[in-house]
Amino acid sequence: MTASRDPERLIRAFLDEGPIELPERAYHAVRSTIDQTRQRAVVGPWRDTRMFNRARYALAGLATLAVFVVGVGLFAQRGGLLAPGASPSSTSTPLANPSATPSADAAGPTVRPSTDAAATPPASLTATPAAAAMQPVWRADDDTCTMNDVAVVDDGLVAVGSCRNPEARRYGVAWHSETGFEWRRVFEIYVEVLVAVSGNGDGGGVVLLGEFQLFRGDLSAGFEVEQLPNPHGRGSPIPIDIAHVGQNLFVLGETDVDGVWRPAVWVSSSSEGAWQLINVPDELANIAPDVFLMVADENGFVIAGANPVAPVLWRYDLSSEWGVPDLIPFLRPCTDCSGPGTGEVTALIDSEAAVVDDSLWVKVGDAWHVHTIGEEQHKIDDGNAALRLEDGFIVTGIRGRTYPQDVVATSTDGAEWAVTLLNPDAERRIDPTIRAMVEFDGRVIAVGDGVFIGPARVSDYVP
Amino acid sequence: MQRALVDQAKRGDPEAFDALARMVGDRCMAIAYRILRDADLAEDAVQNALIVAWRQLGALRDEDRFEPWLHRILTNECYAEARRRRRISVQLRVLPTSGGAASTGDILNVNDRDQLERALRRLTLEQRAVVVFHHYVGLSLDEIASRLGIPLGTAKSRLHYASNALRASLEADARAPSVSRERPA
Repeated sequence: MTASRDPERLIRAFLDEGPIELPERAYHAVRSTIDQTRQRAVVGPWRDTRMFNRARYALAGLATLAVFVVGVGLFAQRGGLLAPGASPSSTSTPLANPSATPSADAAGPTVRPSTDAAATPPASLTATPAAAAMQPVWRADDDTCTMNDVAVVDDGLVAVGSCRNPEARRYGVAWHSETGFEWRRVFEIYVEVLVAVSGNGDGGGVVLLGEFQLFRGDLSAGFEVEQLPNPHGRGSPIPIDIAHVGQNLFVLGETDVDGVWRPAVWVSSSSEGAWQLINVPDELANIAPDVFLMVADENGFVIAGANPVAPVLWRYDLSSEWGVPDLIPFLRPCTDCSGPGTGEVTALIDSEAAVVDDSLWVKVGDAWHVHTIGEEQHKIDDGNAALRLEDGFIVTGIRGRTYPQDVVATSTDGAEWAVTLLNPDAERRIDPTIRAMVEFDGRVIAVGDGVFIGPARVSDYVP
Repeated sequence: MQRALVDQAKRGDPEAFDALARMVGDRCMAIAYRILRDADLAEDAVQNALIVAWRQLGALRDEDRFEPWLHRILTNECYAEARRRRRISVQLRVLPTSGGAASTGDILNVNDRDQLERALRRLTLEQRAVVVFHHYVGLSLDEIASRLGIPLGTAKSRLHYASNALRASLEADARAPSVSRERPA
């Protein structure tokens, strides 16, 4: 091998390519944020880092021992870690409920509502004016927390997300609420939690999706890690999304098959617990090499993916299995040719409605119709969460690239939108504030950097 | 210079922090892009990292260690950003159509770039971070372990796995330059 073909040299040369400048807009965004952000006060003398680490490991050891002892006790009480009726699975691993990574933030099992949040439902919420389409009702008192998803469960709502410990490292958190207005921290784990779904019909339960891991259990007894099998591949599969259909749970993910990552779907019945791969047609791997969203409906689920040509939806029906792929005819004009060649489904509503970047696509008959969300200066640049309500659509997202603002857009038909600021009092933000929405008890519950509640009818948002 | 700015910023001076951010921002962007393989995600990760750094600056014990400390925050932000978006998109670039070297002094050909891009995408973010800090930033394994807050053995194994995967992609390319595309990018 010649020197020029030396792999190390090639790898270095490859890594030397690519952008090396942070755009000016990023500095502006940082500056505008820090001007409004207090630094965290540091209390107490500095400790020796090595001492701290030793103490931390010692504490972690004690915590592990305590968890083990408690776990053995619980195991004895419950006659085993598996729920009644569940079959033993060699892939189930007991999981300690408290975070395995001690953190000061993770110390308390509950979180108080913030002082400026309403602890009880404001009387005006049932007729919210458009100027305040969604009301912030709750925020964790530790403002490092963000919520990624929310799900309706037997006794209320579960939201999942993450908070940061003092070393700025994220750890996963699940919160529970009976009404949507008050939330209590119920679960902590060492990885960020991305998705939550209701477990199943017989006895409730919750399934959480963390980074590369599934957790199944319930909020009172704790959770177990579940591994997805990959019989014809190598390495650990990557779960991406979950859907609950009837008595079945489906997980969308990717598996490494002989060195190639391919879309995969696993199913687990609510009573058995073991996960099995279901047959995925070859066309799915060819047409949608990247899959990233899944949503359940009455009879099956829909997957959203993307390929270099177009976003694609693919439906699975419990009785007839896979349908034909449904390509959304999205064509992005190539202005700078530096980004992906196709739009990304940023919010999947159902098999006939999806948000692709800044547009809502609605299928009428056999044809897809596109609607830009908002108009002119009120146009949404990225829709992040969307719901189909009884009388139309609600989409939340951001507008403006340099100084993003969080907005809520509603429309009865996708053509005319009422767009309002989500945080009229906040000047500028970096992150989209809402990442998931669900309809619950006649209201829209939206979660992100806090919890927001609005009416579940589009007509209530229109001035 | 940097130490003085860190000291001022720790006392709550946003001007000093702004100047500090401009000193380190490009470097952070370069690292984040190479971990995430996406310029937009990288920009967001750097923004978030700088904001976290501002908020947590009081926790920085040694002002001379600002940049390594920031890099750890940045790496965690890269992980969080990628997972929040659920997937990492591939940048499509205009590449020379010739299979040979693109230009004088350019030791990478189109196939090399293609194979390395795919191989990098298949690595976990944690493995990519170690590759970037080792091959791009030029840190030793000891330094990587310290900067990322991981045990030395973990850094070694991540680099070992990642390097093998990257080498294998180049070797496979050398053996079979016309190998079929397994996944459209």
